[in-house]
Amino acid sequence: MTTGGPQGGSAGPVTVLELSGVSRQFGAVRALTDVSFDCRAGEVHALVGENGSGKSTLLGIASGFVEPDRGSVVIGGKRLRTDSPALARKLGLAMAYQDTSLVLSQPVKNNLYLAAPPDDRPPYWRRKKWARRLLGEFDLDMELFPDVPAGFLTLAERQMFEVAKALVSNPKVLLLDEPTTALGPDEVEALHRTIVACRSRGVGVVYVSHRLPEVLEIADRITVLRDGRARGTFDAKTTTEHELVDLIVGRPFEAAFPPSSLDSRVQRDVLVVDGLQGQSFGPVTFTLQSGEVVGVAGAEGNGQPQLFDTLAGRTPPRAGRVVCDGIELTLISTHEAVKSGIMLLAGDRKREALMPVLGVRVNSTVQSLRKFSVLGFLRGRAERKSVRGLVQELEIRTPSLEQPVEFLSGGNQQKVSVARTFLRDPAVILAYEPTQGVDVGSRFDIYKALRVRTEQGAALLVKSSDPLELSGLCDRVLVMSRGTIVEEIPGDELDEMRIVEAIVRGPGVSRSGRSPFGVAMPKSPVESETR
Amino acid sequence: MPVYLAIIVLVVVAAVWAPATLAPAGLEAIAPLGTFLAITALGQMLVIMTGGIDLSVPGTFLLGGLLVVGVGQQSDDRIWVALLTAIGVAALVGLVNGILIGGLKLNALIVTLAVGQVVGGVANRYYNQVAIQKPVPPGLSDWAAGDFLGVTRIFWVGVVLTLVLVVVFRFTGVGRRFQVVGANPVASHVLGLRVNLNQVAAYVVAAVLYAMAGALLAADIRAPGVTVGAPYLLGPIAAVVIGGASLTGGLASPVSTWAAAFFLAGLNQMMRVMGLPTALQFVVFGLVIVGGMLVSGDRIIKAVERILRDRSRPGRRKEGSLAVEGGEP
Repeated sequence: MTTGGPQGGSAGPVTVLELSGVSRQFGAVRALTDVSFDCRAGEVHALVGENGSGKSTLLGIASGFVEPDRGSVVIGGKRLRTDSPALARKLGLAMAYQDTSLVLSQPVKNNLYLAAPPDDRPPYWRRKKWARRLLGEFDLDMELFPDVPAGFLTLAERQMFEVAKALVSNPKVLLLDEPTTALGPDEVEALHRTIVACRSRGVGVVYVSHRLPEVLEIADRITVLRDGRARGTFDAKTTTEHELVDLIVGRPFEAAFPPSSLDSRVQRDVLVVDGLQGQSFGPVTFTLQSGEVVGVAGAEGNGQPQLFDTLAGRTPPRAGRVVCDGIELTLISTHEAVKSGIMLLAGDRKREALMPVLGVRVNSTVQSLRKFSVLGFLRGRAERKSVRGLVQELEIRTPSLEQPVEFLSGGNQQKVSVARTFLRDPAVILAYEPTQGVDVGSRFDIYKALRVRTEQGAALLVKSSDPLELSGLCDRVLVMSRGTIVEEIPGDELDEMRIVEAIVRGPGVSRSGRSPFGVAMPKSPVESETR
Repeated sequence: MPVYLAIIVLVVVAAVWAPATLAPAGLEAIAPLGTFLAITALGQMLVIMTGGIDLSVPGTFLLGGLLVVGVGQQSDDRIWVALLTAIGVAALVGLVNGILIGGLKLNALIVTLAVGQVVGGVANRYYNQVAIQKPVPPGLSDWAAGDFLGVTRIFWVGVVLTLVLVVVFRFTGVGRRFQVVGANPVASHVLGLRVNLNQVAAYVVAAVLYAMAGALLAADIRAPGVTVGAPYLLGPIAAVVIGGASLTGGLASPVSTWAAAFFLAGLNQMMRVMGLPTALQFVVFGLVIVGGMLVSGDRIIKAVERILRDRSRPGRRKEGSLAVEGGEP
């Protein structure tokens, strides 16, 4: 730390970051439309909005990773001309990334050394002492040994360290992208202490988060983004959580679920899971009936993804039995699972569900090519007709059937995934976070489409971290904790509060006393087993 | 499509500085050479589409040519036996590659390099013991010397193979699945496609194509030497890349790859006509490959777009037109 705060006591607050009239389009998707945003020295300016509202794009533009189509970025009074993160950093901007940017194989001291601007770096052999001193200065309540490889840190520690790394360059503007997703209450408090210290030193802090209580606690001003447009900037002292929620959502959320399709006359068991055990979950026993939507709730890291992966045939089970439509499955390959009628809508769409460079048509029909082929040759017309019908029915917004799906919005991408289930008549659909990164408008379409599938006899298992979504969409909800189902909430008791209570009460959470919504708790069963 | 642009540039340059390249005799030399390169490049393209790479081309290519000589025993009755043996042995080589890479997930670069060494060694020994300075069956070389529509028959074999791949990719389920797996193997696995099988198939079909090219070359020059495979290590990869494929896997076009192979063959011929020393030819060839990689994909188009956008930025006074654009729902 060589310099003090910049222009700390001069007359009037200095604007350290200014974005004016910024727009950016990805393919057909308008990520940002004419957004202006500024951050003054010595203030915390929060940016809130749903997933997909344009927060990340805005941060990307401010930090020089994304080039705006229109509009300008001014950092510390100087215009950022090219889309260069290095230049942005030179102008005094630092960013702590959500999916952290650490070199995992390297020790903490080297990561810190890398993050420092060349002029501020100590002699290489003195970097351990230097790192220890700096980490102390930042007061992040971390007891980090400079020699520990960054990969050994828990998620919470990584997130805190990410902030420390950003502070090393002694920035004028600090961008924090969802800095608390992995943090417990104590750590959030420590982080906020550090942020307040920065503020009093005259640093401008941009704080992006979806946790409104935290935002209201720390921020001076709050800007709301929705669908790529700024919906206003407010003084944090005079704003309530309720007002913000209304602005973020943009319409009342209650009515946004289709009615249940459960019909007791035609019920039969389509999926029987008996004592299933796999990597870091189990034994799990439950039954899905045709036409039923069953939710899976629980704090993150309690075996939900592993359960879904095993049911989809991605990782073989260790013990137990799974019967789908009367046929017992081995679950050793995804091919078998799909063939016997289990379709997974993977959570990580870009990586695990879609072929980004291929078009809507090709993506929709990958799993049902046999339906469109005669002697191995595809009937192009039948395929196009069928996909065109689905594009209309599911209201997929795309310029053409051949548009590469990487240029569609999250909601439309998910609809393409859902369209696959319309071409195959699966017995069971496994939906992992089906509306993550999906805008509010498309959500209802997706719920509706999934309900159409269950009306036609499929059973749906939904994993979601949003209790509101589970209570609105599901007929009953299974609560998972430490890899097992600890509670089943029947349909007539379902509401948001009931689910949250069940999650908070779960034995996996109470011990560490961390927030039930944290992305990962350091002592979760996943980590302790793989050790 | 930068390939076609490159071909146009090449034709213009050749017309000005080395018109002999474009004379009938020059084109006659290009047609078979381009075809050998094109067929091997198509094989390499299949492998590259799966995100792999195949460095066993020279060995398999050579073995294919030598087997036609050795098994053919200069007898016209044995032509088909010889061709099928060459193809079958190549398929086995491809299967070994495919199982090690697609099944056991070993590194494609190292595996194919090693397998290529083994195959090349075997081919060398085979040459010394059986095929040394002996010709292919006369029926085969006579066939290869013949023309169809005024162009050597070898050329048409390349055209047919290219078209077959085009049809497979555009109109069959197998081809579609292959492209899907190349575009995103992880998602394809989740969706229940047989990713490993597709990868193995890529190496097998590719090896068969190398052997076919080797057999064609043997038929063309009658008595293949032991070094005929050497130019086909880098050449096919260069053709695939210049044809616009990404080395990380995904989409590729058979027609562009075919065209890129002819571009490279034409370039080679032109340098020979110009009488450049062999050493210099290598330098130019290498530079063109690097240049081809620089301009492959739509990088040029993107760069031009960016320049245009930067130009228009200072002068964006026409707020009216922007407003219209922004008003779109």
